[in-house]
Amino acid sequence: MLEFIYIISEQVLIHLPLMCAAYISFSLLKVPDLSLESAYVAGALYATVLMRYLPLHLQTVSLLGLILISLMAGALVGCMSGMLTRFLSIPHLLSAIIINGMFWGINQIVAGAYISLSGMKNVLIYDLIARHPELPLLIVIGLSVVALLIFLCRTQLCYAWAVFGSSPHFFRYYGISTHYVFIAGLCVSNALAGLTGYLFAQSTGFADINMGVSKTLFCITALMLGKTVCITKKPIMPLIPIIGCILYFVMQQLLLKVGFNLKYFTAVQALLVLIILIMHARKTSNTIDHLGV
Amino acid sequence: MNQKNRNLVITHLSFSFASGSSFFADISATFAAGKIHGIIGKNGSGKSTLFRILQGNISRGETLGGLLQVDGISIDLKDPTQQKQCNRYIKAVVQNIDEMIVPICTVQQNLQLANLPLFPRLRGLPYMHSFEDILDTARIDLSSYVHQLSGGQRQILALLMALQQDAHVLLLDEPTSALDIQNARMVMECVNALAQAKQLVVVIISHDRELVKECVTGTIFEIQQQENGQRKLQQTERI
Repeated sequence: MLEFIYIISEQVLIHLPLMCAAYISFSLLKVPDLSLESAYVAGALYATVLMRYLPLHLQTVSLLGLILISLMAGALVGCMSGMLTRFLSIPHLLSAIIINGMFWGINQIVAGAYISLSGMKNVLIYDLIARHPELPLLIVIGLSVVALLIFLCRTQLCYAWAVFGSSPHFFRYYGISTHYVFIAGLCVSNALAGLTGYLFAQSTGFADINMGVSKTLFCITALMLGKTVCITKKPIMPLIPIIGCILYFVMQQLLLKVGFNLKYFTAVQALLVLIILIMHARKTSNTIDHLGV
Repeated sequence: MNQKNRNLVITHLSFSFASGSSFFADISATFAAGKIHGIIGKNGSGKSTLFRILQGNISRGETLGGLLQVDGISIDLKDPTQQKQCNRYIKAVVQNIDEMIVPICTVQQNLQLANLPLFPRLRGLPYMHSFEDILDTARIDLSSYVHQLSGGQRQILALLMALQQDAHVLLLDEPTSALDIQNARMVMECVNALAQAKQLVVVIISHDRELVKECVTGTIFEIQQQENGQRKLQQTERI
């Protein structure tokens, strides 16, 4: 049982920044932010490339450096897709697709399609729990991300993101910069996706150009699960991505326990999202809110 | 600041679209502070265009001229940098008020959101002017969610949000068009109270001449189309 909890905790802590990112993009800004997948890959690839040049024996310095570079790589992706949307008036789905294509090439030129971390020191390891040496530092990073999310959710900027998702024309009446709100939202969100990319690469020992595939579906599924449990009238609820992430990995591990083959799990996710959307549409007899999350 | 200085004075206002066609030519009018004024006109007569240019919202290629005096400050409308100042003193509540309010937030949050700076910051929501008397009159609770409010209450909330940044002139585009008589009266009572208490210049545009006659405490103007297509602002009656 304890092992089961350890595994879930690890998975949740690695993916928590990505869930917070998805919450900002999908639930608050309400944009179909496919560029999260590119940000995730960019965060993983650029951080792992940088590992060659960092003094890995200085664990704290290296870890902070790697976190910073993964955040910056993700933010760059978000900033570019946001600027395409706002300054060239391209629908965000299309901007994200363009950025995904662009970064597919850039990532391969800068970092290559596959980077193995074997033989390099794992800076996430802190020997406190024998079978899960990465868990202590993941807890520290996870708690920092939760603290950041709770702080963000109380700020003007976060309210502005929620307002953008609900009433996109609001800002022009009150002299508030819509460009700034939107691009800042995508930068923060994609930066967090980049962080998860690095954490995932570090814990699995490799970074791969295809590692972002279907991450958007994961985010939507987990957010839907979170939203199903955390029913609230409040415009901003930081518990949704946290609870959603926990429920998702509990469900995944339970399916593994009963002998389910995880290669079919993406199909199960898609089915789950479809069922929730159909139930929602029947209940409200209305068109589905953007992305349903 | 004396009463006269708070008036809105338009002198020799002219406006042409990007196509070059002259729309308004040599319009002059004075709107006294503390009163509700009305502008009437047929569909397409240019009421909304007048509101737009009074706020300094000029598109590329359009030309604006004349002088605007508000709160004792003169704004040369020909100067693009000065045009932008109009928006500081003159606020409008559009016909589609749902674009101006956030339905998922509470009344208090909406009032605070209307005070957000150009670049929202990493700190709590800003302070707000609560206009407690008006909220009490309209029976609006600060903790209510916007979707729980009636049409009239939403209109009043939009008004109060427009006034958050110390506007001196309030332009209301068809403020009661979607309301029943009871709600329309409540809204206009609140507008009147605000105009008197804050010495605001309130200008409403409406198709409904009866409503304008009933609510206006200042001057009524009519936009009339000339044979050459230009519009003139004519004072029609004083109440």
